[in-house]
Amino acid sequence: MIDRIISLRNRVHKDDFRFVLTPKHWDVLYMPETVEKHNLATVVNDGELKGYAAYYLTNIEQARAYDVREICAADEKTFTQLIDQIVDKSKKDQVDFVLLRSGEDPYKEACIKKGFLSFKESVVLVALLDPEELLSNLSEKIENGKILKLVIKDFVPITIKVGQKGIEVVKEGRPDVIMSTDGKTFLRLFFGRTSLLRMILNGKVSLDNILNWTTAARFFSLVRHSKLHIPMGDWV
Amino acid sequence: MRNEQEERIRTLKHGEETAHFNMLNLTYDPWGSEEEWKRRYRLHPDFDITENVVIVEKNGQWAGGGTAWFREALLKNNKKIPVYAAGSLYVHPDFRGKGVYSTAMRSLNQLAQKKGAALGFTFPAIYRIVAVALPKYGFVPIFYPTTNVLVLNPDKFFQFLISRAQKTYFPENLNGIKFRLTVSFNTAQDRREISGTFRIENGQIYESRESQDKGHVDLTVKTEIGTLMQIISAFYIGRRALLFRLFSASVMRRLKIRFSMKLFRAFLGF
Repeated sequence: MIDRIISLRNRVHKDDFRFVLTPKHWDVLYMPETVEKHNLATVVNDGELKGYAAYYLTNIEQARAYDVREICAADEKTFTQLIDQIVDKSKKDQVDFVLLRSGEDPYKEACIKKGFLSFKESVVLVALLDPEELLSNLSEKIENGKILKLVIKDFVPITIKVGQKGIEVVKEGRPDVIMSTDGKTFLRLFFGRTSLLRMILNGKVSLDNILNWTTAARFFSLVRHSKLHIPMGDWV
Repeated sequence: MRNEQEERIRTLKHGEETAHFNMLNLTYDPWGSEEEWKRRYRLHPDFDITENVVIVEKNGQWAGGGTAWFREALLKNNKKIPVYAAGSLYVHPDFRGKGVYSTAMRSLNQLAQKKGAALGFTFPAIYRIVAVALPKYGFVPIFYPTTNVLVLNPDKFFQFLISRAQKTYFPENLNGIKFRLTVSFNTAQDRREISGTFRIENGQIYESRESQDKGHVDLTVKTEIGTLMQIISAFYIGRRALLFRLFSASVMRRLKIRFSMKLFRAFLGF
């Protein structure tokens, strides 16, 4: 089953920034033996896994709750079927409430229809530790492109060839444009939380040659990861 | 120089597991069960307590620490990058306000950089003070996940909310404020209303045992649970979001609120 779970997660969230899920991680983070009760809800159609939800019983502030570590569904119908399974089990086990934390909220309406209330109680914070390692892994061999020198405060500058369809981290090259910023602004742009134009206007990003701003804009459009899938099970 | 001599960074040693678990429970009050410690610190893949658990000592005494869990993340081109998640940061009560948290957090970032992590992650609750402190160490809020909750037992859920609120630190100028909260729950079976009277002292909420006479209360809030949850979220996200939520809920008659001038003045100062 675990291979099918990993395969489904990678298919449903193929464009999302996410942690690698291995069978070992699944056992410890999603189906731990150390809790009173853990459960796996699944929806299978014609032998194909369409969705799963891992959840376990937890004691929070003197209440008993089912905490959903991850819910992953190929479509809204599957999502609703998984929610039904969780709610039925919760009523049967007489828990006080069910917690379901979700990232991008693709099936918000389905939750509302089932009587869930929604609120914000957590935040995902990210720190930039090695931009070169990050960008090198997005790097591919490209023939033509403009050279962007990326200067992030407190890090070694990175020279990047920006093509039409990809970027390549290169050793050297005479830059067409030098872009300077700080780590936090870079991350907000990398994860699509703000726009380059806004950051330029705010003075958080500066370009030595504003006429080449399209190179900087293309760079971010190529490396941007606007969607994240880091379910509760991956939190520590 | 003197400070450097007094402060020492090291990692956990074998044989110190119970002391570490006790330290977490002392500082988080409570942190969790032994089983939970075992899950995070013994069973977690590729985890070694002698490498991943940082301890800060002051004058030879165990003052605080934190933990780094290393993972790999997938980029949209399916390539993997090394990342780490920082967590379980704590400071012993005797060493609070002495830079221990800063040392622990910086040490974790340095450890992660040494091990080649490209990004660091943390997942704090927004009501915890660390969510406010972490940007000092290079962390930036990237997104606020939605928590969906299905309430099956309104009394227990109300108590859960109060317990969470009791872990929040409120601005000092709200000290002395007394408020009464009435929340309605529409469950599948019926409609329930639950009330409680509270006061803020030393930046924290306490359940008030005093008279519930309206004359003694600075704030009376009557609302339904969904609206309350959204107002609480907005409180942590920012003052603008809070004002918007309060205004829209009042206009839509989902919130009835009465407050004294004392609270109004305190709020403006906050």
